[in-house]
Amino acid sequence: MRPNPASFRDPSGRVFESGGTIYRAIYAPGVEDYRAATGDGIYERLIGKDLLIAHAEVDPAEMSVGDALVCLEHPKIPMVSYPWEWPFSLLKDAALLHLDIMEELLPRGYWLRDANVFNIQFDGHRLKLIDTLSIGRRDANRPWVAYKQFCSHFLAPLAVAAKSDVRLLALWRSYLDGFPLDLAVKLLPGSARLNPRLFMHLYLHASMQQSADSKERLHEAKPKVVRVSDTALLGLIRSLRKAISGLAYRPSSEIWRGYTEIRTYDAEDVTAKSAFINSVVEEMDPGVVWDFGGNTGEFSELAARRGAFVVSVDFDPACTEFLYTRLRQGQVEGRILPLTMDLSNPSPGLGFNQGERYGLKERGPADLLFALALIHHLVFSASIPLENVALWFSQLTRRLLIEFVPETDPMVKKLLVNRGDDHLPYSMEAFKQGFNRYFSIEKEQQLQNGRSLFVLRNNSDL
Amino acid sequence: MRHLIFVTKIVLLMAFVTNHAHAYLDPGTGSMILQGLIAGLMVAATTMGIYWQKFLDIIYRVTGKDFRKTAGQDEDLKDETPKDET
Repeated sequence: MRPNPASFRDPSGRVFESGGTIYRAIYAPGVEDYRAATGDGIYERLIGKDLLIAHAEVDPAEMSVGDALVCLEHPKIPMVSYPWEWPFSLLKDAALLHLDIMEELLPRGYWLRDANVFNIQFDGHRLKLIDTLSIGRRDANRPWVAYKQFCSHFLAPLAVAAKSDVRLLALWRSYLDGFPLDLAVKLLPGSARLNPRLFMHLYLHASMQQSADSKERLHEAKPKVVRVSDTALLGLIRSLRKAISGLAYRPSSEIWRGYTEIRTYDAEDVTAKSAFINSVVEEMDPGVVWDFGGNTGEFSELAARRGAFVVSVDFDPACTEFLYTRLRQGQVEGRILPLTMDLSNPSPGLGFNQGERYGLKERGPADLLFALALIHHLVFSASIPLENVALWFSQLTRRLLIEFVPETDPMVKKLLVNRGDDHLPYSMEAFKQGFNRYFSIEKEQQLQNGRSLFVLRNNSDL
Repeated sequence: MRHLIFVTKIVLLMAFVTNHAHAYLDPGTGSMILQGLIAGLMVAATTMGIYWQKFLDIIYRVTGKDFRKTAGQDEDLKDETPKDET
């Protein structure tokens, strides 16, 4: 039984992993709420509506989970992901999911004890609350204990991304407990004040927080709790819903014209490339595929259609937003997790002891990694030598489906237009030399445009 | 009179009381006070809505012109009764 490194804050329970199965130990402080919610059919209701991750009770005596009174077994999410990697609309849907659950719970005498962004995960189909113990009995007439957390984890990042710049979602990497409200209001344009809901939940909230904090520092504050009726709390939830619903990210129209329109090679090569990818996926039948530089997910879809769980990673938030939007609208067959990430600076391990949030590498290995029309960008735009790229890939995947784009290709020439010949070694020879150290060639196919596709097997066991 | 009592109750409910939250999460003093203010606003808006509807009822009875809303007065404060109670 391995304790989950991110599960230690709430004394009600703790998450463990053993043999690929997730267990949740429930200790004395959480048992009453758990039993009550079970008796009142709260979990059954939320699980039935696909809002909450399923669970089944197992005997805690048979598990090495300390002095747990109850132990639950959960299905495993194929890959955990984080808000600094999510498309804007995924974070927005996660916020709305919290509010949906609150609206389900409040009339039944329950509520969410926290509103933590890390408690929501996307399984390639749907978003779900993965923390069963977030649900607790509502303290009558008490304000929502997680209101501050909801504003920091959802409203503030979404407002900053929508009103200022979507790239500011990367601030999550520094602020794991959500965007500080005083910082968020500085990042918003002045016009955001005119939105009454943003004014109330962010500007006024930040100001009241600062005032209360300074009193607490001076030991002037007494513990105070305001009473809030159920009706007023539902009003607050609906006000937050309107605030969130009003926020949108509209990527530049150029990206949304569609990848197929801006590609530089012709349809015949695309067909040959797709056929090669299809045959590789069909033959290998990989469980997990990582598609690096996945763009709007065209090749991710090929693998997803054949049953793989695909993680489609791209640098451009507009591309991942486009893919997520299509997934949400049911236009994509199969399971894909779109993530925004700069592959020259992939997600690191973060949080306490650098272990709470996994780095990309720790979430692998993949059975198959696509690096299609990618490595020339890493070499020329990020100045990473081919051998370093090969080493990194060898730590991430068992097999690699990689495209080599020659120096004569228009895309490479475009990258070098202001660089001349003063760049890192880049040729088929340098490619093979770099990758042969870590991989063995299993398959090779040249396309008519001079590009080559390779299937490589990792020389070491992952 | 019923409404006057309702409003008075709300004002009383909004009064600060010493009480400790039973939560592992710090709800934040400023956040709790703000929720109290928002709660007050919500309730005030509902109460005003009720009186406004009554005023429109009178207008309807006197002039025959119907300005009353047929749907919910305020989306933020719709009836919280569970729609499909099991």
